[in-house]
Amino acid sequence: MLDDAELRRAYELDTDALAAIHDAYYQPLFRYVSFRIGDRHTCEDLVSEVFTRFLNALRQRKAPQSNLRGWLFGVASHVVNDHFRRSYRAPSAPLDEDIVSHAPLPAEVAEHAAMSEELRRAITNLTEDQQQVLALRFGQSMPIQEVARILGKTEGAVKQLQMRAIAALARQMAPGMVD
Amino acid sequence: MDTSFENLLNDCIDALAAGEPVEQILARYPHEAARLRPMLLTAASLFELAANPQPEARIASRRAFLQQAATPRQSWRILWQRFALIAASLLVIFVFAGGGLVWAADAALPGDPLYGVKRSVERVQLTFSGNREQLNMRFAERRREEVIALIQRRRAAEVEFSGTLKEVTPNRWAIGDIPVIIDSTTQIRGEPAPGANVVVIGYTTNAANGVQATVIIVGRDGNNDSNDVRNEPNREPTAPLPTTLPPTATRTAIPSPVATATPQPTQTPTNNPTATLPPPQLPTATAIPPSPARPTITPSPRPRDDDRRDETVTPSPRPRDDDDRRDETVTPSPRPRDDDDRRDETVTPSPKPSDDDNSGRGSDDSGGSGGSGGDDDDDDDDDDDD
Repeated sequence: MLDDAELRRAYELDTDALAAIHDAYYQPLFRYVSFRIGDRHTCEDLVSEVFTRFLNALRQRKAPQSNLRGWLFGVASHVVNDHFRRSYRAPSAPLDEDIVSHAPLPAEVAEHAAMSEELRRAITNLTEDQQQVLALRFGQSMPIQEVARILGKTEGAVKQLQMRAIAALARQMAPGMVD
Repeated sequence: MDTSFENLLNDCIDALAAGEPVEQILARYPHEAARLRPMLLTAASLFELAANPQPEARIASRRAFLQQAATPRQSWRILWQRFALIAASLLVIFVFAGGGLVWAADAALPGDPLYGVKRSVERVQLTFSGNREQLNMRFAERRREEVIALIQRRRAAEVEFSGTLKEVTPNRWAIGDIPVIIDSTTQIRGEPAPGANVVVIGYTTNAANGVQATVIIVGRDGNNDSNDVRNEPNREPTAPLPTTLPPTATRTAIPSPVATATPQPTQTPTNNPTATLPPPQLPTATAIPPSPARPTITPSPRPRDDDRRDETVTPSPRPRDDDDRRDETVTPSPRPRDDDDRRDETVTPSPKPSDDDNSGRGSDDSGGSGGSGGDDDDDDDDDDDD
């Protein structure tokens, strides 16, 4: 976790501070994005886009003064949603299915990938808040208190969002097993 | 879906996150196991969804990020903001400059540099006006106001205006509120009667207290024609007319400041006959205008009932455009007038004096009413009306 002093130095585009920020957040952001998007290259591009937006925000003095992590996850959420919008508008062959069909993977791995894609598709049907909770709770393995802090919600509200999201997914993934 | 179950599920998820197997967790809550099982299986899948980045990808991203930070590239938003600022500034400048020009031209008087702009604006207004007649009347009023302003400021300029004839004395008419000076060179067409609408072509001078009339047309509504090209305060005589040449003899002697191809002395002799032989009916061949702004005046009013087409005496050398002079060196002096040929063949031998424009205008005006057969387009109306 970076302190605010580092963030202030980042405002001066201090190389060390920027490098520290990148090192601290690249992996969480990649996990956050890859939680929702299966294709690795797409994830890398989108994480780069998050850092580019961060840089622009620094130059325009619009970056946060604190809670950089929450801000970055918020940007990542927008970037992912923009990506989904683009691919809805120009529906090329979904990259994820390309991997599933073309990659010379063992059957077990392929089956796992197929299930992951089904799960991701199901997640896109959830509400924005539910998706955020899952991405932080499961993608980042965050305790519920931290998720609540980042999203600015109470623990109870997050627990409720979490349960409804999982119940909805379970219904979609294994119909009939949940009431 | 009560709070206690939400808490229970959350505890199970924490256990999953700690690495406990699903079945082991379910065994702790046998009474809720059926309900929990699909949810915990789903939750376990969710934990496997996110992937860790490859180290190479992280290093490449870091390098690109720091490089991007070191490059002082403007964001598009900032560039756009600058562009918008510049564009807005230019727009403001253009609007103010254009509007300012029109505004400044509005007060221009004949002879002013912006007077042409003023008349152009009026023409545009006329073109797009639904009520041309009313607009014409307003512009006619403007012409009179301009003339009055010129007289008050004692400024010399060529003018044309129309108005109601109020008073007629031998040497002085009153048209609207404008005194018009009549002398022997003034050509009058139509019978002057108080109340008649008249068009006056003439000029103001530095000294005289009124308009020196060159041509007066009685009984014609000047509105429709007041925007003739002829009346523009332009620099070019639009219709050089053949009857107006007394001054050429002297003017040819003046060395031309314009480098034309043909100011040769050989041409002067050809002019002489016409120059020294004014049309027989002219009362005065040369009239020196009182105004320095108008060095030459149309000297040749002829009786109005002339049949122009039969007229044979033509002092033909006229001030012409430089282009014409370069191409043609032959001066067909007195010869039967041929309207169509006039432009093409006649030659002006006289080198251009500096006030060529004014003299050209003078000949133009007088010719228009002098009824030369060589009327050009602008004067056709006059002839018909007569």
